[in-house]
Amino acid sequence: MTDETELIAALAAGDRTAFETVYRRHNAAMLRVATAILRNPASAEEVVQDSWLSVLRNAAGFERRSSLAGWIFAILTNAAKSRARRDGRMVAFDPTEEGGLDQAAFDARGRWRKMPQAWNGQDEITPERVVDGRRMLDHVTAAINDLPPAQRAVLVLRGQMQLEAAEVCAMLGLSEGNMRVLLHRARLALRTRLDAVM
Amino acid sequence: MLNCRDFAEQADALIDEELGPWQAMRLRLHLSACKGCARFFEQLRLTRRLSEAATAPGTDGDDGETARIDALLAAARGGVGGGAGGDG
Ligand SMILES: [Zn+2]
Repeated sequence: MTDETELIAALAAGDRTAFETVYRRHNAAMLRVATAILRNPASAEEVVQDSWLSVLRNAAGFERRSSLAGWIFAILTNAAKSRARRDGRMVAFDPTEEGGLDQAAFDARGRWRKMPQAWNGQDEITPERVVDGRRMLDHVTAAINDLPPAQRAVLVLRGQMQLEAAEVCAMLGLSEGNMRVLLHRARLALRTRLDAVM
Repeated sequence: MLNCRDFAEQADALIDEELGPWQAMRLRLHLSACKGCARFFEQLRLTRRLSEAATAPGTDGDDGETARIDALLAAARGGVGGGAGGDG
């Protein structure tokens, strides 16, 4: 926690190293979440930039009612939602959006049509391992980017270790039950995508 | 009776320990008896690990970021409005 106190103080003072640390930690996830909310990469980019400015200008007044990450992502999701509203777009996430388990993988009695086969060398799969000409990490990243928006937003926000589940629910306007369903669906969809390349 | 589709649908919730004890036991019983679901379960665990790696904080970092960081710092200092298009 003292680390974070120092980081916030340095951020408020406009310290470059502190800002770079925080920026590199969160910028990619912020872009993904903003894109999921706005469905438009250019607007998402603008909203993320504006959010960073907000963070820099308001760090001095940050009241520690949440973690630094919680505060930053709240700024981001609020900015993205008001931008979406301004653009006349629906902001609500659809908890019933499709995707998840591949139903075609099962027969009428719910048994595997085709038994899952062990993945090639699955005991030593690392993010850096190259499969089918691409690092595993890049396969997963591409699959995440193709997820339906609500699943993508939940998966990315839940991947930010410092965010509480309740914070993520509030940011996306989801109940905890719906958030879990979306998270499970996202992982099932990713597993199907990876199964296709392994 | 619990089938493979039921298992697959709830496997991720099983890993997150969100199921009641009775349901978790039924799933574990199926898992121990079904080779296909055992493989599926292993793949789901791997997928979760890879997905965590892909969404973990700090996976950002190409060199173009440096200019953007400087532009944001300058804009915040100068109080010049709007962040959009601030990458110099
Ligand atoms: Zn089975």
